[in-house]
Amino acid sequence: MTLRRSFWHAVETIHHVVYFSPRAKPAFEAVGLKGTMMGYFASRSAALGTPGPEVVIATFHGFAPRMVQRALPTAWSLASPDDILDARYTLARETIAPGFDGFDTARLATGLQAGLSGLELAGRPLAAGHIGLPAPTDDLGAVWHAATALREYRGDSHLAVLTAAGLDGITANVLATAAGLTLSGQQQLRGWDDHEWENAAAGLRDRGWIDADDQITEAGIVHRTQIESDTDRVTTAGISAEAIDHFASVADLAVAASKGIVAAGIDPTAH
Amino acid sequence: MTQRRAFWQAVEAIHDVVYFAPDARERFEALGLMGFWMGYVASRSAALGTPSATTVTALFHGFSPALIGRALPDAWSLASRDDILAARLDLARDALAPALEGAETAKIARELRLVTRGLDFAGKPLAAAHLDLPAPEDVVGQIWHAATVIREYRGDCHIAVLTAAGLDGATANALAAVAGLVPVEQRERRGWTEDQWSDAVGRLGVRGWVDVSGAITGTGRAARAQIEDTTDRVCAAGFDRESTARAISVEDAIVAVARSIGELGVIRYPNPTGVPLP
Repeated sequence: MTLRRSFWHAVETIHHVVYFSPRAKPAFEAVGLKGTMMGYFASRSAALGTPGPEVVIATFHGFAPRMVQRALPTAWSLASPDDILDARYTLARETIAPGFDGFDTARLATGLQAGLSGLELAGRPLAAGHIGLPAPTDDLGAVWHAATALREYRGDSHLAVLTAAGLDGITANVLATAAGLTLSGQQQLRGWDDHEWENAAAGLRDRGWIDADDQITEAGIVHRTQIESDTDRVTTAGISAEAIDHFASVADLAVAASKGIVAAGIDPTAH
Repeated sequence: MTQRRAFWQAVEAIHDVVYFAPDARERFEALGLMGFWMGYVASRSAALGTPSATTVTALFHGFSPALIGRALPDAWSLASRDDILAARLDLARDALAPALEGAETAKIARELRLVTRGLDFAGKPLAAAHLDLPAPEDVVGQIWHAATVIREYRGDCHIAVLTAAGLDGATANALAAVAGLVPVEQRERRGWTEDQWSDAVGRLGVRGWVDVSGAITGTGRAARAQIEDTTDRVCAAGFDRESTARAISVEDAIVAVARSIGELGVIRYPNPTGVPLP
């Protein structure tokens, strides 16, 4: 048995709204960090401790190294990981709360948390970092903690698939952009310059995955689809049958909550 | 093209001296750590800082969460991370120095460092953590540091391949054991219980990779060979042209060092890494 893709979409939405909140930048600046990207890199990686830039380049996959190096390790001398994580959770609770009006948050928190111990951690470092953090005692915090661990779990599985396919960070981004899977301005959002982007595009042209106009080819569509279904398969392979039952039992609730978040207008990626 | 196996085997031998040095356990115990495995787990993961047991379970792949959980987070309160890293580097220097007698150490150090400069680290977290550490100032330390980055790089690529193949830690180890790549004591060494191990062998049976007696099948052998070939290909994909060239030019020199490590008995073969001498 596998989990529906709508469950993963819901988990993703619950997790990622923190990145789009207008309160994100001031929240992290209040603890001493500087700028949106420093807040992003430090708050997402603090579950690993105080990782150096190379570890974050490795575990985030897809960001230009210089962009990470501008934020780390400087961030760790400006604020403690504990303060950064506290700020992140406060931000998350405030951001997702409007989406949970009238929902059984306690049941969702219990179901999602119950499944976390059934995840195979080997090869999933970012998820493992978040699972290693103590779960918050409040329902909203516990939902966001579990959604974060699950989202990073699928992300880590996706990175294993990309890495095993020999796709480096920028190439994976150029491919996703050609496939129409990214927001506009992905190149700039990930910090790559024109020269680097063009080199990666040339590599994809050599593979026959994009054409001379950078449009995705049939072969490219097949391979990108394969990457996504491999990611589903690898993700599912690491979840015990018992954990799948736990997640499946609250999947409808997670989807409803994510729709509440979208309805509240706090997710700019929602269509 | 891919790097030749001899290159990887030599890098592995140079890195592995810290695990097989007879006084490895004593040196970490002198800092306050308890037992061989706490020294192993803490010293190999300290490049990340003071990571949690779950993070290290993810990064090492193949060790039971229980074995890692017995070492961490306790190790971080028994000894400082900086002292652990310094002790590890000293251990490496002392174990490696005899095998480097007569070798062109400055050249090997330079070439290996240049290999590390052209690697793509996306998806290779343990190698990245070691790259984050400052390079030592002495050539013996530099050789070991660069070899460590390159060895963990291949390890990270291997883990990506295992993960993408849907193989969990216990199953990957059980496969290596039935394939005869690692000694029979692998189960205990990686901390798996008999139940966990027989479940893992059962999962190999579902794939048709072992038969009812638990012996590897032809399909299992082919699959394990494919994993190794894919690992080589994935590693090569992350080497830029310059790194590829440096790896070729330094190969003979590091193979000679590795053979000297074997001749001097610094490492015994075969051993739980499953990697033979070049």
